[in-house]
Amino acid sequence: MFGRVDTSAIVGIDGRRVIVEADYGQGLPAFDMVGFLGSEVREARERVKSALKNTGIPVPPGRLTVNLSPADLRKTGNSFDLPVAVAIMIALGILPQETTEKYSFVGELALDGSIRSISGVLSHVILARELQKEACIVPRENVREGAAISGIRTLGFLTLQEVMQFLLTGEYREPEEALPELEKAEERLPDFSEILGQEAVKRAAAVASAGMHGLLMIGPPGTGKTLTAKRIPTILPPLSEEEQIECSRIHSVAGLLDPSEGLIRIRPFRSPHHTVSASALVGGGVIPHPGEMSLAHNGVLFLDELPEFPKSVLEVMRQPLEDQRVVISRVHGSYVFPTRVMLVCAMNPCRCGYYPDRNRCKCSEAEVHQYLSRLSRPLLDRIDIACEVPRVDVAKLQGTENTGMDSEKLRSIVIRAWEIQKERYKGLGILFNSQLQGREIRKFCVLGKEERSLLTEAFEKLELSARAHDRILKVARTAADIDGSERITTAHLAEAVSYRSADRKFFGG
Amino acid sequence: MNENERGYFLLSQTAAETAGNSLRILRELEPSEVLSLHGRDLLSFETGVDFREMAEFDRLRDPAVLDALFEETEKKGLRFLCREDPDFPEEFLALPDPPAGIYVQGRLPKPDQQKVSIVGSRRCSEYGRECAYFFGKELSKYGVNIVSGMALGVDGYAGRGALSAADPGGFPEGHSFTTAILGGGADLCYPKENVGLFRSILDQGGCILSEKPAGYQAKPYDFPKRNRLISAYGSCLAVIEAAERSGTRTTVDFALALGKEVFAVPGRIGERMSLGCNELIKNGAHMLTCPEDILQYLGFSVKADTKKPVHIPMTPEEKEIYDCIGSESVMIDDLLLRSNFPVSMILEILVRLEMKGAIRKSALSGYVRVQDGRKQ
Repeated sequence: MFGRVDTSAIVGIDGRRVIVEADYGQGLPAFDMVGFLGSEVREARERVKSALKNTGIPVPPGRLTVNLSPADLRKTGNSFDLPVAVAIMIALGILPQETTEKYSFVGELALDGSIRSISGVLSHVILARELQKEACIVPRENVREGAAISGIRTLGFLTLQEVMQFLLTGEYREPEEALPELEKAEERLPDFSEILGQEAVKRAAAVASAGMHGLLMIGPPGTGKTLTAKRIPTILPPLSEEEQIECSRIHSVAGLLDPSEGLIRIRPFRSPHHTVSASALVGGGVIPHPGEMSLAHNGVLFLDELPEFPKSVLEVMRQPLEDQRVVISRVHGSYVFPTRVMLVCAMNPCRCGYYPDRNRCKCSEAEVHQYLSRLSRPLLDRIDIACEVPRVDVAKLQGTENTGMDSEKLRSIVIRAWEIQKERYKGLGILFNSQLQGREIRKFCVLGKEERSLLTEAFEKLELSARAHDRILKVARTAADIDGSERITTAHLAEAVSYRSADRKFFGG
Repeated sequence: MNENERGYFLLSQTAAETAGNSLRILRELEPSEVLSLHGRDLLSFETGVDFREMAEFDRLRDPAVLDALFEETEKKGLRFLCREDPDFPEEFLALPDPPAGIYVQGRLPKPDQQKVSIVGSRRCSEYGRECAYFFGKELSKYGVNIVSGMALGVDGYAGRGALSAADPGGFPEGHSFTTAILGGGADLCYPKENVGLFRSILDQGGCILSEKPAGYQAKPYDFPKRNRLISAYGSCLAVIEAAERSGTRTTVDFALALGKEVFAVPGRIGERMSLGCNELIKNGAHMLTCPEDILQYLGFSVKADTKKPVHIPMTPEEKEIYDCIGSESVMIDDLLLRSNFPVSMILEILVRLEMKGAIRKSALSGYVRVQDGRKQ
């Protein structure tokens, strides 16, 4: 007898259709699995055998062959156990072939026949929808994740017994717990109002968010650089449904999706430690997995202590930052992961962190120079806004009521700017001012006579380099968008110039 | 080169020229007689040279080698002035241990040009930096040559200030604005961070000199010796900023030993970088609060308030922000508390003020007013 079942394999973050075929017939007792399998898939044989036995389905002695097609796609991961078991049950004549064809199956089996959770369910479900299946059958723990995809049912089961029952009788019990509300998820987030003072930094963060510009914060320890970075996701507009699915897919493939949360609803904030390896940052591995940059897709990638990151690691980020996706090539093909992130970096001005406070900093000028020169110029070129985070006099702030900006006010600024940009760049494949290049800059960042002379003067007096020119224009464009102004005025331009000052002084830019 | 010059040159090229060695030798020998010495003879002058240095001396005493070396030095743009040269600055002869000769690159100040040594900490504060630049510039406007060590911090900023006055052209052709006395060879830029300053000194009519031969890399123990030249060269010594224990201290001691007047810029109490200067004032140094203090000492007739204050046109908003900024770093948060402008506007005003040259961004922490000598 013969049985076939649809399932899928994960390639990058996409699902690829895989068909599991099982054939049972006369012959010496054997159980073979073929189809370019990874070792964890080959081991499915033992799990499936035991699970079937413990579900009360004896496999009579005979020749059993299981094939996973297409034969040229390497199958890895733990999601093939369930489809293999189902295919065998069809081959044994326990389940009808026709009913199972309406479904796609994924899941790992335990020896006792229960179904264990897997990663990447979203991509499996999305593929099942594309294949126009009626439903995707997944482990119960993953059902919430899959339920987020509309246009297809996701059915979750705890045991192989339940799956068999369902396929024979159509009996299904919906899980009871409800999904947490979005508002609840956002309530737990930090808020900008918790940062006292530092209004200039908050402004810089808002401008950076409004145009998705790279942000670099320079300041001594304990001045709120990390606090600020953590709060940036709260002023970015909420994730759209499409973005939620994009983010969740990546997290799902990486096995980082919290099963109780369903989809990722708040903007990701990833803060890899500076010991991170290049492949952990952009993605990699024998079977490529998404890296921190992809996990931060649609959100914030925060690199604290920027000069401590090895140069080689920072260099690999350049291309993905530019292209907003990373392509990892392997013998069996290329894997593409999206990496549209807002880059936020923080650093101390010197090794001890207190420069230029000579009462505390003991570094020599040469040491300060050396510390700063660890940053690569090309990476800095991808950071449009640099701001300084000075020490705050705590005593001074305790007296005053905090009247500063909170996340809600800042977010409204950002949302408006995003809408203006969306309208302007319709059909150009661009979303934000930070993505403008060459000719586009000249087209969208037009300066009047007065503005042009201000810019020229700024270049002369403030010793800016030519590299800064485009970035100033882009940031000025964002400042104008925040004001809802079509024209870039001198005020916008001057503000943009102020965000270059740090790198002019420290990096000779 | 005559025989005496050759003798001096040989001495200054070798290890014989270390703290007082040449002094001991020249006390007993004529400079020309040095040429007939052998390396091992140096031992009899209690010079403390080692075998390597003796061998080097023997190599150089060969007239052909010495001539080649002299030529090479000149090719590098250095002029060797021996102690007997008419151009040799006589200020150095007042030292108990004058150098056998000096190497000069650039334009040596005329003997009658007034010279003021400005020194201070390498790790100076914003205040020290601002003061060094200001005094360098203001004194330079009166034709005073600023002598310093081109080190990081105060020395470098004093030199930069002096060069910033080099523009107007009110000085006779061949006027020298600043003299940098280095611890290593005068052809090497040390510290390398100041290579920009090194170039501009040579381009804008300053001079770089050293008692060390070309190509000599300065060792830590060379700097106190260099400091004695700095204190000897200026008519008086101005200390801008110094911590309690610093290299500046040795310069002051040399100046006092030479009977030079010492001026010190007062600092705020409690600041680490002010301790040295305040201590100097307590011990009798002149308090330096304006360039006139030094100018009057040098004999310039300076009328108190003839200078027109520089007027920088400002809008009322710019004025309001400008008035909040003093000589101490002010941060944007403070400006927000003191004015009613939104952040974006303050950022804009600050950039405008900066472009007008009214304020300056201090390293990292905020903004300071640019010193313009106005009574505030």
